[in-house]
Amino acid sequence: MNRIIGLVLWLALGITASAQTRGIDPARVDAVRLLQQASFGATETDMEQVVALGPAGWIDAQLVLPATSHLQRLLDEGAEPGDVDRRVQAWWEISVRAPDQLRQRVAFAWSEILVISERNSALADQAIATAAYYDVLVHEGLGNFRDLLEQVTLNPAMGVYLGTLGNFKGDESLGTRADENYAREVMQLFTIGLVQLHADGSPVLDAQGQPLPTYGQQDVENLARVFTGWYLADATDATIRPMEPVPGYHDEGEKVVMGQVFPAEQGARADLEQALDLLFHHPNTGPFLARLLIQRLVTSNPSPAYIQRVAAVFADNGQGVRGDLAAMVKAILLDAEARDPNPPPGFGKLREPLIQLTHLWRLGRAASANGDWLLDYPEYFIGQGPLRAPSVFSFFDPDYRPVGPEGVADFTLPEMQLLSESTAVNQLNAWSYFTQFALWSFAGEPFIEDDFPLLHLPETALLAVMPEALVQHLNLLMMAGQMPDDMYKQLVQTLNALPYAMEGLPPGSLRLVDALWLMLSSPQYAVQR
Amino acid sequence: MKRRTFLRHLGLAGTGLGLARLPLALAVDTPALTGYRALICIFLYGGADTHNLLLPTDPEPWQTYRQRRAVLALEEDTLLPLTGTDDEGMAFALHPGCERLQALFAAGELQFVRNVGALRQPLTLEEARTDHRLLPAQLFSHADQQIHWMRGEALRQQSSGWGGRLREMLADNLPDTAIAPAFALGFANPWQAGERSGPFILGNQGVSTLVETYSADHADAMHARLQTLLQAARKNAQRPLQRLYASRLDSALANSRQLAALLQDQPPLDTPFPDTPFGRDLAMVTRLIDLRESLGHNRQLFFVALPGWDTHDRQLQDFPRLAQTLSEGMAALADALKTLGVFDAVTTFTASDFGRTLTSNGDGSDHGWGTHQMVMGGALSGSGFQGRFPNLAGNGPDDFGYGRMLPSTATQQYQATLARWFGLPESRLVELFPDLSRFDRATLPFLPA
Repeated sequence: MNRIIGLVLWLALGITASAQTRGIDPARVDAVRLLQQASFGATETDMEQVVALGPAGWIDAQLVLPATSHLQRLLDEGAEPGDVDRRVQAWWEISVRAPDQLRQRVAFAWSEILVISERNSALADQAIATAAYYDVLVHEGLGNFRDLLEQVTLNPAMGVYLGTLGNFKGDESLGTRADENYAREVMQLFTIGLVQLHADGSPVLDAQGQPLPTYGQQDVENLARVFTGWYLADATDATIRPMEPVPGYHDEGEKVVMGQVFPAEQGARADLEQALDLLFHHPNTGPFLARLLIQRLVTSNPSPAYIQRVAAVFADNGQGVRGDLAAMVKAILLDAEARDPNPPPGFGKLREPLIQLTHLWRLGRAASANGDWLLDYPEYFIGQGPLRAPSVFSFFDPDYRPVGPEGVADFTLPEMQLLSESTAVNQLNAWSYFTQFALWSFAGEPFIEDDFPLLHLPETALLAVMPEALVQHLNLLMMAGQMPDDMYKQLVQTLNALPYAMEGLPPGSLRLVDALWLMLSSPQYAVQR
Repeated sequence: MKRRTFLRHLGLAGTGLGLARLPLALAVDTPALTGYRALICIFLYGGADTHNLLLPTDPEPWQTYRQRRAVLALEEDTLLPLTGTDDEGMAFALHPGCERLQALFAAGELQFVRNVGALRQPLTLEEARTDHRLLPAQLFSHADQQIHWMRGEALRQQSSGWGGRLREMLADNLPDTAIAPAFALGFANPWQAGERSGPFILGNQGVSTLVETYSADHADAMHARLQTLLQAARKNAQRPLQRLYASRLDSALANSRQLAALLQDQPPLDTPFPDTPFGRDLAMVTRLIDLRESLGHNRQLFFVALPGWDTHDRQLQDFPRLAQTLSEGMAALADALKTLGVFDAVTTFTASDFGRTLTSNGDGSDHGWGTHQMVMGGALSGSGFQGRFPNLAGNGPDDFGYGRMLPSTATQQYQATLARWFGLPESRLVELFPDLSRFDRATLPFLPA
């Protein structure tokens, strides 16, 4: 105990001395910034590891960790397809606890780009299939994009979601044609986008200043014919295996997509391989994906030069390989724009509600009595759930520019689409439940259920004896040292007005949970910089 | 942004005219808005296959329909006939799931606006086929066509929607209220986004209130502390993203507090709605209309989404349920508005991403163009069949391919009719819908000014 108090005093004195200069160790600040971008939230242990290995070293160490499988967890539990709650529980458990944080965080980013959703009635009770889909994103998300694209295309959950499963050639006697759904969205949303792009992601304009379309309706119709003839494999576990061609159901006629001829009679698989090669090698794919991935991890408004640098790595990882996603993600995270300790005012992104909660739970070493994480359908509570977007357009539009008050410049801020009159209050209430209610549990509140995650931060609570020390500690771990001075002062003042010790509660815990609630609820924290 | 600057310049020009002339100019351009009026947009997300909503029943077009719809064709004897014919003498019927819409149509309280779609100028099939520069950008893409419908212009020069701009153009003639007179059920939408403000977004259960933890006093103290942080964030010029977020969070919290109090004090409304998310959304719209005086609103815009219309697959299973949900919801809304005595003052209209192909992909249809939409209310006038019904024939004069119908009425003409009724002077319609200047008529005859 004496040692802890000694530590507190040492920290407090050290910090008091440097409070005006925000003097937190720059290596630790950078470590936490990297962990905000590349994991489900910084912890003290991770921060020290990044400091020890350096950002590049930490990324390399993450890349060699074995992938944690969501599907395997469900199968080990004996879960059935209808157990969607177990699938979401597996997501919480793995996102909060798995060591392969970078891989899981990037898989989550892909899940918001290569979208399937359990809100679609056809996937509402297919947890085994949707977990298998998420595993594709986990296993291939840092592999090569060509493999990722193929596994996504042939995954049965995606096949159901966007109609490739059972998309059969047109039948003139029935008056039918091929289903255009996947053909359209794989181009528009997953690979090349609607308009031709320069290498830096800016649109190519015609003489009238209008963007040039990437493809036309004829291309969609022809590509729809390319994707005909696929169905579930003939196996008992077909929903977790790639789809297979069904003889006789593929359109064997010649197709032309964006000027490239697909010869007649080459078969479903050769047609599909050629189409995916075409999209993979398209000049748009690098800058298109670079912007989307940078937005998911680092900043909503990347500079064209940043996009261009990342797209160049997609084009060639330095060893002549195109589509190396590990190299691409590394380039995103190690870019000067991502690591700049004094970023420009418009730098950063809004934290997503799901990641605010994983952040709190990682930081707080949260655990419930029965090991579960309470929220089976988090979208009803915080407005967002994994693999539970409203549509193939995900939770937010990558180009969303909110209406701002007079005098504030326009910025793209996709995640702000999750903020509304109803979600604002619900989110503040969620932070209350998961901080302040977690305090009541110390006092033995009986209504806390077995699956309610409680915070375990006794040492951090002790810092509250000196509010400056606690606020600075949370400033570092939650806000990467980006807390504005006026906020710092106000939090210290707030905590000073609260008692350090209260009967029935561990020392410092009231101050700690109130500091956590205020930070989680604040706009200053909401923007990850 | 351009428009905002433009309006600001107009304001400056106005002061130059001299004070004596200013009131006169205002009186001519913007008559005072009296009484109460509201627009309810029901957006059918995904692109509704209205080929199976409004069907031609005369022998020749019916044969064309049957033959081209193939496996998606409805059975003739299940259809619900509509009274009367259009001005070309054609007869029509409704999908069997729309029994209640049939009755509304017969009473003159529901009309169809036929083959309306995204256009930037009047277009022949030949022009549409040969000159892509004449087409709106990204036809057949969900997101882009939703934006076209909601922004009300083809060239994407506006960042706001026509509902939001309409409200801001009329702002001088509307009461200044804390809660803006625009509500979205569920989520943000481009239609209601203005240059300076967006809609109040709420769920169909109303709005939540902040929970009390530990004690009421403690909760109040914490919320006051949060307010201080919020106000500091709003002023921090070094952190523009934080300012954008703080501004929205601040208004969201203040608005929800005010509305929660009003909803809590409201006596329950005695009007039944279907127990579906759509029915519950419409019930909340009705409650907000009932609260118009407490809110200080004499004009209101509502946005309700009915998703699920992207029927590439399983159309014959899914479409009947969608049609029935729409029909029963709209009819319940009509009943409720009549009970409140505001049916004449509220016009409900449908919109959707686009129409769909008449031909089938096996068990569904794909993204199309022209579509049939509905308007409902006590203020409607004229024929129940607005616009021109397309010729459904393959390679016919309206077929852009696979039964994607070249629209004969532009979304802007449909919407200008609604905006004019809402209170925008005829002379300002082109300001709201810039493309209108290329069409020979700005409005349709289904609503008076």
